Amino acid sequence: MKKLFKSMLIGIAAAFILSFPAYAQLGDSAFFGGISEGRRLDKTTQLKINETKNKKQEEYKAPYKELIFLTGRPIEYNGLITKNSKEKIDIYDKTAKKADEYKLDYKFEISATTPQDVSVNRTIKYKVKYRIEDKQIIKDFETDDWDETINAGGVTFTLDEDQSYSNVSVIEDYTPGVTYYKGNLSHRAVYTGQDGNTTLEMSGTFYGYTCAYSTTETFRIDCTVSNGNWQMQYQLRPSVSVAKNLQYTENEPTSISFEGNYQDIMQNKSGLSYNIYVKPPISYDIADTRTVFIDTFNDFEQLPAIDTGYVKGHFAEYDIKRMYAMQILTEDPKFYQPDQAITRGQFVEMLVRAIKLPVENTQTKSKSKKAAVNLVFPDVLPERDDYKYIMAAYRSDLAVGRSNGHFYIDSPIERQEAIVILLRTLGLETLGLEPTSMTAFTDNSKIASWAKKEVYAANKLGIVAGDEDGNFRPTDFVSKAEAAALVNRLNQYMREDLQTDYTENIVNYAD
Amino acid sequence: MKKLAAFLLSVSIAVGSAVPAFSLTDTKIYTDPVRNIFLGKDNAKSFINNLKFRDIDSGYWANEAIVRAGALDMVKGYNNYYQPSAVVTNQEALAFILRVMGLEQVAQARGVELQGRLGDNTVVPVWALGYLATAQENNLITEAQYNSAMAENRENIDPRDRFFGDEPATREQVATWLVQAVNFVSADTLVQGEQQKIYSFSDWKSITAAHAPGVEICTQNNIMKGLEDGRFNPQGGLTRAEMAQILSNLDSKYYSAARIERRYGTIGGIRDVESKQTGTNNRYRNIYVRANDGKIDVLQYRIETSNSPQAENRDCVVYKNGAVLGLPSLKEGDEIEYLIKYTESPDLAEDADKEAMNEYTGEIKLGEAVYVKYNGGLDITTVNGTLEAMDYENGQIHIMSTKNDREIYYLAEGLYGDENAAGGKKSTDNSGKYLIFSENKLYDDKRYDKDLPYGSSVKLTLNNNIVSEVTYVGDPVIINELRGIVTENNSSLGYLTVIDNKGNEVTKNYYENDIKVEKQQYYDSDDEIGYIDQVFPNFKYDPRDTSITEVEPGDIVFIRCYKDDPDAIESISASTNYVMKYGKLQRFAPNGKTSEMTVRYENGAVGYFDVPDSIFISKAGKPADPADVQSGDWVRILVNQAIIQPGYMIESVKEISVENSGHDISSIIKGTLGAINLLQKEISVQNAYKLTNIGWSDYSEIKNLSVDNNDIEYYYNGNRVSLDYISRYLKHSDNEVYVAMENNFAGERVSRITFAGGRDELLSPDTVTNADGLGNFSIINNDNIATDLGTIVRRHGRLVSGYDIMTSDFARVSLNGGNYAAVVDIYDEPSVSQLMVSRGRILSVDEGNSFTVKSMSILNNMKWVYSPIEREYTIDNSTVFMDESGVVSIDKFIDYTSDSVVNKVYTIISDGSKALYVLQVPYTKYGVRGTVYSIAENTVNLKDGTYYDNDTGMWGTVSAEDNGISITTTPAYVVIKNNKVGSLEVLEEGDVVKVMVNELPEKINGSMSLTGYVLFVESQK
Repeated sequence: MKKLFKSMLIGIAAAFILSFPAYAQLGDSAFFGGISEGRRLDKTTQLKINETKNKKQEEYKAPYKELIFLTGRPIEYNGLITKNSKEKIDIYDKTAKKADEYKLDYKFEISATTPQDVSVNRTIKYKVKYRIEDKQIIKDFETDDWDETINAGGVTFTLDEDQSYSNVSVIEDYTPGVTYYKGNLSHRAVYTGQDGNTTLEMSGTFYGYTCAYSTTETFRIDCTVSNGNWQMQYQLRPSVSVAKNLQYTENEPTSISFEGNYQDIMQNKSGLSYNIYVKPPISYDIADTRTVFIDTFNDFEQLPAIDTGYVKGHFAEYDIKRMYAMQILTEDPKFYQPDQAITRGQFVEMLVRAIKLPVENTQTKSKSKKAAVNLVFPDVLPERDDYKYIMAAYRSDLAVGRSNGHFYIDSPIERQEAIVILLRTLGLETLGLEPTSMTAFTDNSKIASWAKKEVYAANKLGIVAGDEDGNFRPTDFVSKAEAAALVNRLNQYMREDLQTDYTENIVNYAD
Repeated sequence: MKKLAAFLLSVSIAVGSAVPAFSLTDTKIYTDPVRNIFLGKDNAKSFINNLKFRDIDSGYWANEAIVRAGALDMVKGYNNYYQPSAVVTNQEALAFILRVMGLEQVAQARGVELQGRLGDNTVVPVWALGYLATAQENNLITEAQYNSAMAENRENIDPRDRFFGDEPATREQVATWLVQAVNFVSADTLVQGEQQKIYSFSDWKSITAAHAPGVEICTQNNIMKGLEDGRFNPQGGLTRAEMAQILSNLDSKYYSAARIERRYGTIGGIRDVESKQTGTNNRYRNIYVRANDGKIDVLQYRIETSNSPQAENRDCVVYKNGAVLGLPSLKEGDEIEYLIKYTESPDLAEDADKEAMNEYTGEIKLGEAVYVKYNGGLDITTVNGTLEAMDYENGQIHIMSTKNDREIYYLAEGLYGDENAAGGKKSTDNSGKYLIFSENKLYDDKRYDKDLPYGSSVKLTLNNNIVSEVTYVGDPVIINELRGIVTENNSSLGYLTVIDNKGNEVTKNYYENDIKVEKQQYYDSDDEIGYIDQVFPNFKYDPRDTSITEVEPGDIVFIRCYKDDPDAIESISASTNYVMKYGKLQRFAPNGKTSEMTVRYENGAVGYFDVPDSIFISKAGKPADPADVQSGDWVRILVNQAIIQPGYMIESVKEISVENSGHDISSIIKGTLGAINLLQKEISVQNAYKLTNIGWSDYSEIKNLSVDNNDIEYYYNGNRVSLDYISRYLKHSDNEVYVAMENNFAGERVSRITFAGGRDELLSPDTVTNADGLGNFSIINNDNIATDLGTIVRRHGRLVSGYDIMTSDFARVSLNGGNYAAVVDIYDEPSVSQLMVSRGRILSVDEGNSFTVKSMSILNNMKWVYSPIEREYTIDNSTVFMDESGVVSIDKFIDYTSDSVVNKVYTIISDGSKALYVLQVPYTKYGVRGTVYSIAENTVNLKDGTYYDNDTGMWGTVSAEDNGISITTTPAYVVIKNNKVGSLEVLEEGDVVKVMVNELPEKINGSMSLTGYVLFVESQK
């Protein structure tokens, strides 16, 4: 009596070639209020030729900057951070043997290079235990080994390991397009020096996310330095961020086979702001607020030049052009009809490409080998070119069929359906109220009950706004041009808006 | 693979023509397996046409009976006339009865045979010959009666055997025949009770004894009825209409004889399919019927579209609203009765199209649809109850209704199943039996039997009594809580309006003094007490306990009402619905108890708010006043959003946090545009100057500026332009370019670039004497300065527009081209008026709290004015104590031990009576003054040096040749600038500084080096 899920025997052997882009950035600046230069995102070419950084043992080495407050005055130093991490968790891989991999190792080594009169040597090793709960991973860091010696302001501070603790706990939430994480840290470092013990207590929260176009990690750490004579309180807000910007350049020569093309410009930004709330009298003259940062150098990559002359002058020309440059649209631009309705299958395929969801390549092998393929949607057959995209979307819970189990892959998509699925790529539907009985749109009553939460959230995020009468027009079909604009908006969101929210909106406000 | 291809083809057609699934009332109609396909009959067209009798209108009482009997070929008409009131003769009656007995064909054969033997010349019509003979052979009539009927001479007939075929059949005779006929088919179908029914007829005595049992049985089984006047009229005749009705009354008794099945169901969906086979082209209309047992039958209507004249349709007689129609007249939602004849005719198998059906596992049974009766439209009802049991065998669900009745309903087949049924894999850990819940429209929720919520509330949606949807309602509800979003709270009239989960507006009353209110405020992240507070109200301080006035539109609330008054709220629990927004203040004007605020968000939208004084404002992580907020500030605001009705939303501010760093204009640069590097997102400015207190200074040949952000504003002559425009037209143009740089978390970046075509002219800083609020203003020496959109106006560090320039602002203006201002820099006018500098001899110390001086001198301009009055200064942790070696701790400032400070003389810098700095420095009765031109670690160099002559009270020039003075500091010194005390770090080049020193050399000359103790910044150049 299997109706919705039907197995079919067909002459296709599925070969799973999955390339998961590695954006792992958790702890690239360690957890001591410093900033590192920021890790470069994978370039499209790297992803295409399968050269990802997803190796079991990974070393990350980068310029590092930190402030030492142990003397009562902020002393800035530049250094080098080396992070060795063993991490390979694939949350989508349900077959992996989890038992062996419930432990990870993180090792940070930090050393000073400038200025001359400061020396820092810090090595800290964490053992990380984790568990997977649905689409979330919870990681607990335990100190395994911690050595530290700091020379600053003419004083040598040596960490007393027996009295020092460090604790970090992280929750990662995986959505189809973005992985978000949040962590808490708490350290107590006791240093012995010439003038007795100095204690540094740090506790704070950090937020981060990684997606194909940007990645950010921002801390808000409240710190207290105390020795027998004085106490100092300050807040550190380090933030490290890497984002890709899309930029078009027109070619100078006339005799060239293409007019111009887009480039992905990758920028890394690392800044560290602090606010001092209580300071020892000896430091009466230092400023309460300051920002230090690491200089940036942009990396860039050319994107294919596609001749989209057929849509020149269209309202959505630039959206469509960007879609082609990013290869989110791949159909022949000569036959691209911006005013046609986009189908559910086409829209989902665009989204899967837009968020760079790993796609499983099904390859036909010898006919003698027959494997059963579980048909998830009766109307999405493996012979279709877009099968693998729908399946990728299905695996990450991005796409579900309609109520009778069919996907209706060739039906036009309604605006409300498009918004629901768009929000799901970012996992931000949670911003809506559940259940939402009312949205701010005039035609609220026409919005289906299953879409209200997402429409509400999209409005809150500013992804959709009403037309001049305040209508959302939920059941209108989406044209191809509108779909390009929507996906481009999503892309901008992943490139810029997310980054702003995780950097400036946290760093610029002392708390 | 062939099958797959056909499957594909049909899917693509089906999707193209199907009604969207969302509009289906029976959502599983196309996915449940099809059990039977019933094709129409190939000669149905002639039936339909023949049954459109002209002498029967749609309202005729026996219409349905006649059409039904006609469709079953039991009655026929003559040339589209049925003649309903014609009386039925004996031979006609026998023909009807024999058809019921299934002997029609036998009778026809006998007729042919007899006709051949007897020829056409009989008294009996040819057609009746066979019926009479067959009737006799089956004991419906006696041999004598048969002979009577066949006799040529009727006069010789014994009256006891008198039976003529063309005489009207009596009612009692027909009754007896009917009983015989039914018993012939199946002996047990008729109820046979005691003889009593006939006694209810007033003329029971006239019923012939031989027919009495027949009449009794027919009336008991509702095959025949008496007349309205209470008689049975046994010897009366029957009309053809009555006969049709009687045959119709036989229904199931007859159907089983004729291998006809009667089924009931509801049409769930209709799909048209085209099947392309070689030669012919068939179009099918598949009418999906949800039968009463929850399973699916398809009525198939077929049109052959080949050009052949033998093209055959398959259709069926459909009786709908009194009309005789065909299958295409059926619509989704129709509730129907349909008569089916199972047959194994090869024609049928050939004509049927099984390919387009839903996925099926077993064999599909084929049959012919004989008759369809429309019984009415779709009736959708819901039933609430608790789930009692599931009967997977029969596809039934048992529920206990809210009235405590046990009710059993058939389920639509797709709603339940057994994965372990034939062919499936056996699994040990579950039975494989499941039920599907529709908890939300997007997903089906498949629950295995072991997980079914037996005893919980469910809601069944019935389509014509078949369950089409099972919704899980939940566990038994104990307390009635209403959840909603507040749209209005009127505490003066005592009512609250919410929009509930279904979108309905609900208003409830309350009594302000009786209502219990809990509300989770945004700053309380957790309810630490929890629900226990309801049980022990005085258990602990609960921050959630509050009053009803705290509930505001936009809040999400749960409401409980009094049991005896469901319109009055007993208690309410609320949670806020706030959203964080970021933007730049376009205007912030304190106005009595509220401040008017205009915010421009990052997406360009503008919000207007009235901010009451009670709203918490913070700046740099510390509480602040409305007066500390200014236009141009970036803010993070917490906004309460309340959607009052669709399209109408109210927002109110709950908290304002002013940005600490970032977005403030850190420097303003002037120069000419050099290169634009789009890859590194940099532009370079040649011959760059920075705006400092001494004007355009800090010259560098090239300055590289990052332009990596997308929100940079470019202006050319007051018009906004793009970066592309700049790189095309203004590169190397020798135009002056003015750049406002802002702080960003990862370094300085460009905020605005303005190109101006004129010559730069920097004015001295001055006070704005008049500003019209439209960007035009005057300073003391320059009237009518104009600004435009491109003008860089920095007001207390923030980039604002010319409209924000106000009278009494202290501004430095850089003109470019006439009276047009390219840069207006507004900052605090340097002043030192608030802080008092005094010198006093300590009398006593109240350790850590205050100290008292015996007498003191107050520094007034350059003179110490003696005052013999005791004075007390308060001190605390923030007070800085200094001696020659630098900062000392407050616990060293005591009036005992050898460290006692009593009788020592200190210089005190105080704000009112609060001592900020207490310095042990020499008596500084001399002063010098100059403009800062360089600052080193503990040395500051002044130019334009003058000294104060204590005797004359005049300032004298140091030297005409070299008027520099070098001031060094000891560990104990202070710099007072803008009413704040700091170190040399707060000094800037260009500051005019007055320095208190303890000695002046006899001969005043240039480049002299002095030790400074108190430095006042007086003004800036």
